[in-house]
Formats: sequence, structure tokens, C-alpha cells
Amino acid sequence: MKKSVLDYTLKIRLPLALFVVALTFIITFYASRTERDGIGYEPEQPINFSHKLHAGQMDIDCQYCHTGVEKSRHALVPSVNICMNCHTLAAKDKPEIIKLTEYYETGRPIPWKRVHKVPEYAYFNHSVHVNKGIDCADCHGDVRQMDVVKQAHGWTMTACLDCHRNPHENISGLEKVKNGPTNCAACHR
Amino acid sequence: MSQQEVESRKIFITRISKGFAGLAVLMALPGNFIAKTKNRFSGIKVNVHPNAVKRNK
Amino acid sequence: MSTDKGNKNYWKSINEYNDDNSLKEAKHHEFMNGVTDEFEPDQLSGISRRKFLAVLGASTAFAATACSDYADKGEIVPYTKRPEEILPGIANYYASTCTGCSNSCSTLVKTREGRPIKVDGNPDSPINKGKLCTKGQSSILSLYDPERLQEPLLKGRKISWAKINGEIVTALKTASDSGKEIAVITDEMTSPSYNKILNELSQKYSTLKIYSYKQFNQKTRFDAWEASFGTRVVPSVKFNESKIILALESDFIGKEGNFVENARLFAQGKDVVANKKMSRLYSVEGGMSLTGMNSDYRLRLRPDNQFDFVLALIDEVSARLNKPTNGIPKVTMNSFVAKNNLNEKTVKYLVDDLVENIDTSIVHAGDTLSVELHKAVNVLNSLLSGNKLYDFNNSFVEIRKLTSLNDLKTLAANSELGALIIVDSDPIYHYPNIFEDAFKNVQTKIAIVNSKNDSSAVCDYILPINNALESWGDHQVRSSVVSLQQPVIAPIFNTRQKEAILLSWINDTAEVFDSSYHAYLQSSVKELFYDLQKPSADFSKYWLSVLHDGIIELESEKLSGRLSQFSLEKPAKTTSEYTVHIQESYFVSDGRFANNGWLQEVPHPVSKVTWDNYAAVSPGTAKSLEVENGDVIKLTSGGRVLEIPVMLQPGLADNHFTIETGYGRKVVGDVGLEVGFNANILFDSTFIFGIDQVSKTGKNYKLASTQEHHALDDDFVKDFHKSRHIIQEGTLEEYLTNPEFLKEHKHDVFSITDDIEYKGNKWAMAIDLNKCIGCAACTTSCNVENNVPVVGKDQVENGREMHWMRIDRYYSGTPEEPIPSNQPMLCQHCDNAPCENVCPVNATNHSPDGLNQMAYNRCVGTRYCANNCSFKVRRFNFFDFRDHFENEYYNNDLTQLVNNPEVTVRSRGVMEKCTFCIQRIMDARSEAIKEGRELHTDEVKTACQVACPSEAIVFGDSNDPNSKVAKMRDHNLGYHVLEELNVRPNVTYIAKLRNTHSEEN
Repeated sequence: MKKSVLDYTLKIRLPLALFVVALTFIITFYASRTERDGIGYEPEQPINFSHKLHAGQMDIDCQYCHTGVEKSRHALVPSVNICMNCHTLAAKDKPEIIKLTEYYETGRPIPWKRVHKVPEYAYFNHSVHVNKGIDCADCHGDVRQMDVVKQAHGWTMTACLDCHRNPHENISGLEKVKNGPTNCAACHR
Repeated sequence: MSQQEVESRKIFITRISKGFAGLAVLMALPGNFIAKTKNRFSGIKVNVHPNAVKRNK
Repeated sequence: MSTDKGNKNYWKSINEYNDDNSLKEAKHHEFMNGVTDEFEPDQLSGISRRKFLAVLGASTAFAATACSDYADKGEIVPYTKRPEEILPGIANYYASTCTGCSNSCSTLVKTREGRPIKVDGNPDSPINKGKLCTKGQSSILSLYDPERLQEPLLKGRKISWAKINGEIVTALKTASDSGKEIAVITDEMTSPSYNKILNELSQKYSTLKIYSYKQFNQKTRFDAWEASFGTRVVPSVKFNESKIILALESDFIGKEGNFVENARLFAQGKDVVANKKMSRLYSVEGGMSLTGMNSDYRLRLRPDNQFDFVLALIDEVSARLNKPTNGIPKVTMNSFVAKNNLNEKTVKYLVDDLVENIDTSIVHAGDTLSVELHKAVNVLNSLLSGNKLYDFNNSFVEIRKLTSLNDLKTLAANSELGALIIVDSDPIYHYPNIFEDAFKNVQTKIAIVNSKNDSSAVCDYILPINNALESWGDHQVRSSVVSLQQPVIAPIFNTRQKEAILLSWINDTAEVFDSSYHAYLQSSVKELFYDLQKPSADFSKYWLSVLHDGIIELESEKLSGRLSQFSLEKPAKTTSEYTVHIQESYFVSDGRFANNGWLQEVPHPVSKVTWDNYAAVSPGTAKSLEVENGDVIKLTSGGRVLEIPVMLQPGLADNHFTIETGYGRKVVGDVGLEVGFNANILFDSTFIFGIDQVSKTGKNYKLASTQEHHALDDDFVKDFHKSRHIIQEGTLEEYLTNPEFLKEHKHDVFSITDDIEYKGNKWAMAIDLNKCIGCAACTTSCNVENNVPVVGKDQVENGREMHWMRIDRYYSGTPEEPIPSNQPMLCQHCDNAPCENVCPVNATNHSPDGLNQMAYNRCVGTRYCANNCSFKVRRFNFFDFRDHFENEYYNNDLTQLVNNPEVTVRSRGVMEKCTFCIQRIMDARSEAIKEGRELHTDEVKTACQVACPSEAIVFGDSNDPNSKVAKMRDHNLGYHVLEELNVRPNVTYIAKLRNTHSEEN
């Protein structure tokens, strides 16, 4: 018998439309993962600085270069004169070091590509976290093994709140720390 | 199903799959073509005065 | 088309009616024959409509996704060589001096990454004790003014320092050699080192004469003191120890003397919470000043009658105390009161109080009154407390005597002037009647100024100088303290220190180096202070230590005064029907801050008018003149004419106008251009003079006031603030007899929801209305700290000013004898906030420590929260005011450096309000965690609290029973505004008690 329009709509068109919508959503969700939480972002830097060599092999402490992390809100990318503390002599004829020295001599600052960025409407305070005993690797991943810095964990508000609500489960070694603040004004001034 | 219906279904499916292929191509493209992130470095040079003495609050 | 029985037949043409066949045929075709003949489908463009839309959609999608590298987070750029002092994220503090007025208060400047972002008072200074006035707080914007002079200019063309200096030195030599006078016009002298340089300059060029002037100054006080006591060292007044203060046209809290210090001392006398006793302030004035607003008793008296009033007082007091005075003209009090229609009872109270409190009474006369009147007041004070209330340890000293107006007139008349050098002043704007066209024929005119003004406009050589925050200096205006000034930022532009410029002329060097003045200053400080004090450290350590502290404390000679015998002359009385009083503006000062958007926009403390000046007139006089608010009147006096709009000011003396100057500058940056009316045109030789003619021009000018509601004229809203208990007041006697009098009309409020328990910190604020004087230092401090934008006059007219904190001013009583009340109003951070419930996107909610939070990025701009706020403290960004104000005047690379990096700069469409300085709370918390201790809640000070000169604002943890705030919250005089709404505000107000006699109530 001849199928009515409604029959056709319900049996064919409706499930097909729903299927298309669901498929699009799922593909977009997973394909845009990187954009949304940034995991895996590994940009190319103007100078091929290897954390694996300096922080891993030579075991230089994070805070030797990233000086602000215990005192200020910002962790601070080191200024060129910190690099030149060693590199006026060490490996000074390697091509990357020559590039570095040129930046230092001409006074041009190095435009590093930023890997970890908390959005500007949220005010993150490094010193509070570091002074409570949280290790750098807990949020930034094992940077000592990275040749090029890669974002290892998600950087969304959910990621922060997961830890704030349950610090002991997410970070090992914290003893006397109570839950972090979850009220808006703690970060969103 | 009549021949016409089969034909129209074929066209329908081809178009949908072309659409998805196009979408996939777009999403796979690397960006950075048109707008660069705004460089907020201003041309004003701000320096500390070397002979000034700072203090605690 | 069939016609049913009973239906009408409709036809459109005769042919249709006749059922024409050709018509029937035509009706079958959609188009008329031949219309589509030329349409050939093959000749259409190759792209079909469908294809075109597909391409359009695809290209848009392509562009959208390709627009940016979605993962790109920009760049992070560190220093190449980081300066040792700077750690990005940590603020540095420097002690320096504010040069906004001659008080030269010592300041503490907060810098971030090498640029200053906030100026507060220096807590080490014994004079201002960590407080700074409105002008000082806002002065930081002048450093970042995009229209600052950046390069030396010769006739408008940029030129190098060496070249321009070479030309100037030659010109000066020529002038000096030919015997022509070189006139140097400069500001009031506060710096001993600068004075030395000027003296050396006048030794080098023998014809050089120095004219140091300031439009509003304390010269009459100094002259009178010299005539009375023989010295030119005037003591300050111990307002905190005075029980009875009589202010005669004296705005000692608002703008005279060191008003920051005076406010603090006055508030100490009014501290009923701590001391349970208060001073009594009588104010006798013609205009309504800030001091008058805070007085317990006020008499309206036209200022030309003040002299007779003082004589009458001397007569009464000397009779009552049986201390006859000779050589004083006699005026009887009764006849005076009758002639001037004064309130007999108030005068009786005044005399009784002065006589009964002889050791703690002080009479203080204003700076704009005559020398003779000051001498009379000295006599009156000698009859009363004598020297007991004078602080001789902290006297005012003069570095250089101010030039008199007569000398300035002689200068203007001098047609043989060789060269004119204007240093950091604006004589042509301040005295247009003296200096108009005076310098037309002078060959060499040099202006050494910060930004262009009316005087620099006539000069050919313009040398730009450093802003105060980029300068070295020393300042001594009091006998016990020298305040040092150091640059907190290296000069941003190609400007130099004004003293360094003069040094280069003395030493004949072409290039000007600021370091030359740095060295000179060091040797001057060594000579003037180090060698006298002889401390044990060597000079370099001493120098670093005084720069660190910002002040040098000196031992001053213990002087005291003995009144010498003299006679008084009665001044000539004005016979005009109307008088006018030219006064200094509270915020724009004598015009120097006209280009400062923050100061233009802070509402006038009395009239709440912004962006304009006006002629204040009493409602009675306005009625007889038939003028209303904004009507432009023409005032004529001695041939000088001024057109200015009128503002009805309750409490003004009749037939009297008060006008503030500092507005109407012709040569100024875009912010100050065409703002206000230049009242200096009317000025001749005294600030108080008669008006020959007042006429209406028929024009009307809209004055933008933030509190338009004249609650006195509308019966419906009259005394609304009293009936709704927004302002709760009492008298001191009422409080002392019945301490709980305020609780009598407290409502019993209850909630239908459960109360939330706040454990831990709960931030609260208490504002003592007894101490609040309404000076608006809190408003400007909040503006600077929180990046509050300037909106401009048109937006203020719409009620869109963006101040997070405002001072509400209410009147009660009658328009002739109003009783003003001030109340600072800010976000009350209500526990039961009406704004939090109604946000559709939950952008505002309550934190566990009692703050009402605002997440700017979540706000969509519904404005329901502002609608619901009972206190109307939420401000909405109707525009991106940085783009909207004055053609993006403040949206440039330089001005954006003033922004506090810890506070979001809000854009269009978001709601903002006071946050209880959450950035300072988080900063203190971070410091506590860094040091591994608990947060001491008393160490968190909000910006408004730090700025308030009278310490009226207290902030802290109300859950801590020992904190000041908790004690004030539970105080008998503490109340919340609109308590009956059960919004549970966290701001407690301490009710104002007026020290009036009980028979009144």
C-alpha cells in the first residue's frame, strides 16, 4: 500500500536526521578536543630550548630559571640574562646559542610561543599553589622528559575544579592541605 | 522502490557525504592564515630610575 | 467566480463585466504575452543560484575556521636583562612627594613592572600620616596624559635640547647686558633647593627678578601673623584638642591649609565611638563649603560683613571676660545680629560656648579674607585660648615670600621687559585682567611647563618638564618635616627636570642632564639638613635612608607668639547689592587639573555637579532674580563681564554668588577644553567684591549633577532619607542620656529561608558618619585602584557615571537653613542580596567569606541585578568607555599603563560594582600563605580605607570579635541602610551625632 507522508517522515527522515546530528556532534566533540582543553599543544619555539637536557639531564631546578613561581602570581619565563649566566661560555658555538647571544646583544626579547595559558579573565596565582606544596609536574606534566614543551593536562576550569575539590586524590604528597577555594572570586576577580 | 526513488536517494547520500568530506577537510586545515594574535607590546619604553630607592609598604 | 445566491458579483473592469473573451484568454496565462520572450535560460551565468549559495556558505565556513590558529595562545615575552628591582607580579613602593598643591604631602607610590599605578600618602609622614587628598590620588593620570608635552618646541617645531638651550642662553645674556629685566614667573616656592637655584640664577643675570605667586595662598595669614606677632612662621592649629571651633569663611577641612591633616585632627575631635565626647563646630560663611556641611551650627553671613562680625565678637567676648581691648573699633553684637538677620539663639550659643570654653576655643579665619580681619581674629584668639591650641612644633614656613598682586601689575606694565620665563605656572590664565596682552612685545618668551596652557601659548620657546613622578626634589612647607621627592619612573618622554634646565643656564652647558640636579640636590640636602643634624652615618648612607623614608624630621625652634599692640583699620565696605566670592575649585584646583578626567568627573562635594562650574546662589535670591538651575546670568563688576550658569544652592547667604575657578581654560588638552566658565575674568584684586549688575541672558545651560534631586522642594521626597531611615542621626546629648536611642525604631525582620552560616572570615566594613566629611578621597582612590573609566559629561547627565563608591548628600531642614548629611554609598555586599537572586546566568553570587562576587566573563548584560539593587550601587558599562569617551582619548598606549594589572578592565556590556578590593584580599592571603601563617584580617586595607583622611572607613573580619569592624557592627550607634528589607548588608554605618543643644529637638 502506498506509504503516507507521515509514515515516511517518522520511519526514514526522523531517525536519519537524528543520526546525522549525533554523528556530527560526536565527531566535532572529539576532533575539537585539542582546541577546547589544549592537551597536546606543542608549538615550535624561536630557540630550540630542550627541557630534557637542562632540567632532566643536568637536573637544574625549575626555580633557577622560573624565578617568580614562589613569590609572585606569575611563574615568569626567564629573562635572557639568566640563560647567559652559563651560556656566555657553555656551548657558545652551537647555532642555537649563537641565536640566543644575538638576542642578548641586540637587546631584543625572545618571543617564546606560549604553551600554558589560563584565560585572562581568570587570575591564577602561582605562589599560592607552590607554597602549599604542589609540584610543578602535577599540572605541567613531566617537563623534564620533554624536548619541546607540550601541554600535558587539560587547562579548563573543570580541570582546576577537579583538583580544588579533591586535592589529595589528584596530587600525591599533599598532607595538610584543605580543599582549594571554589568560589568565583578566588579566580575571577 | 521505484527507479526514481533510488536515484534521488543516491543523490541525497552523495550530497551528504560530500558535505561531511568538506567539513573534515576544513577541520583538518592548519590555521593562522588571516589574523595573528594581537601583539600588545606598546612602543612606550618604561624604565626604572637607577638612583631611586624603594621601600616596603 | 460563481455567484451564490445572495453574494455580490465583483468585477474589476468593463471587459470583465461583459465577460470579454480576450480577457478570459489572458487570465489563463500567468504573464502577459511577450513578457518572457527575451528570456533564454542558456544565456544566464554559469553559476546557478543553488551553486552560488553553496559557494557562499562554504567560503564563510572556510574563513571562519581558518581565521586563527585556534590553539595559538600568543607569545610570552620576558625581559632581555631584567632590572634588579623588578619582579613582575610584585609591586614596588617608593616614597616621594605630591606636588598637586603647596602642601607637598609626602606620598608612597606603588609601582608595577616599573610604572607607577597608585599614589597614597606616606605613613611615615607626621603631617599627613599616610593620607592623600582627592587631587593627589588622581594626579597619577597626569603622568599618562597623552597630550603632555614630549619634546622641546621652538615656535611649534620640535628642536633638540642643546639647540634650544643655546638660543635661550644667548637671548638671556643679551637681555641682561642691555639692562632689561628678565622676569621669572614661577609657582609658590616649596623647595629649598629650587629656591637656591633661582637665587644663583639671579646672581648670574643681574637683571633677573623672580615673581613667585599662587592664586590661592596663605599670604594674608602670614602677613597678619607678622603684623601681630612679628614672625613669619605661622603655627598650625590643634583641631583635635579644640572643643569649640569657629570657622569664619574658613574651609579648613576642604581646601585650606593642609586640609588632609586638618580633616584627621577634626575627625579625632569628633570620634564619639572612641571618646564619647565631641567638639562643636560653628561655621559662619556666605557660601556652602565642605566645612559648613560638617558644622554643628551654621550662620549665613555675606563675607563683606565678616569683619564687623569679628569686631562684634571681640566686643562681646572682651566684655564677658572683662578683658578690655584698646584700638579696636566698636561694633555691638545686638545691632549686628539685627542688621544681618542672624539667628539670635545661635549667636548666643556661640558666645556662651567661646566664653565658657576659653582654653579650648579657637577661631579660624579663611585664606580669602583680608589681612585686617586676620589681625582681628588674632586678637580674638588671644582673648580666648591664647597659644594653647597652636602647634608651634609644626608651623608653616615660607621658603620665599609670595609676590604681591601689585608687583605683578608692575611687571605687566613694564614695557621694557627683555625676557619672560614662565616656570610651571599659568599667569595669563590666572590673572587675565593683569596679563592680557602684557607680553606682546617681549622678544624672548620661554615657557617651562608640563603641558600646554594659556601662558605657554604666547611663548615661542616651550621646554617640557618632567611630571612630579619623574622628578627629584625636596620640599619644606612645615618647620618639622622635609619631604623628599624621587623619580619612580625614568622620564618617559624627552623631558627634563625644571631645576636641571635652570642649572644648565647657570653653568652654561648646552645639554641638559637631570643627573646635574640629582647631584645638586644631594649637596643641597647635605648643606641644609645633614650638616645641621650631624648624624653618625656618612652622607651616602644618610641619603639612601632619607630617600627610603621619604621624609627628614627636623627639630624646629620652639617659637611662640606674643601679641603686640596695634590698631585695626576698618576696610571699605562694598555698597553693591550683590557680592561675589571667587573660590578655588575642590578638585580642579586653580586650573592645573583641568585635563584630568577623573577629577573633572568626581562630583563636587556640595552640589554634586561634574564637568562644570557655576555661580551658586541661594534659592531666595534666585526667586527674586527669577532664575532657575542652569539659567545663564551676566555678572558685571568694574567693567569686567562674566556669563555663567546659576545653581541653586541651599544654605547660601542671600544676594551673594560663589564661583569656583579653574574652569574655562582656553588652552588645554581635549578633556578640559570647553569645560566650565573662566571666572578669573571677574577677578580684580580681592576674592570678595561687589557686583555692579546682574542680568539674565535668557540662555539655559545644562549642568550635569549626579544628585539632581533637590529633596527640599518636592514635598513628596522631602526628608525621605530620614523617614526611610537611610540617614539616622541624633544629637550628642541624646546619645549620652540614652545610648540606645537608635534602636527604638529598629524593625523586627525575619527571613523565610534558612540562614547560611559563615565560618571563617566574613568581610565587613563600617563607616563612621561622624568622621566622614564628604571629601571624596575614597571615590578617587577607588577609581585609581579599580580602573574605573571616565565617561564624560553627556553620560553623567544620563546618570551613567561609573564611580563604584559615591558620597550621597542629603539635605533636611529648609532651603535657607539646610542641614546637610553625607553618606558614602558602595556595594553593601548583602548576605541576602537582591541582585544575586535575579541574575539569569548566575554571574553574581555570594562567596563563603561574605563578599558579593562578580564574574565579568559570565555577565551577559541583562541589568536585572542593577534593577533589583536597593542601593543602586551597580554600574553598567553601556559603552566601552575607553573607546567612547572623547574620541578614544584614554585609549592609547600611554594611558593604558595607569591600569592596575590585578583588576579586570571592563568592556561594554558588563556590570561592575565595588568588590571590597578583592585583589587586595587575595594579595594578603597570598602573602600569608607565602609566609606560612594565618591571614591577619586587619592587614587587609581597601583602597577607600587607605585614602580616607579622617579614618572613617574600617574594614575587616566581622567573625573575629576582636576586630574593629565587629565592635562597630555591634555598636549602639551602628545601623544598616534599609534594614527593613532584610537584605543583610555587610556595611554598617555609625549614626551621625550633631553636637547641638538639646532645646532644639
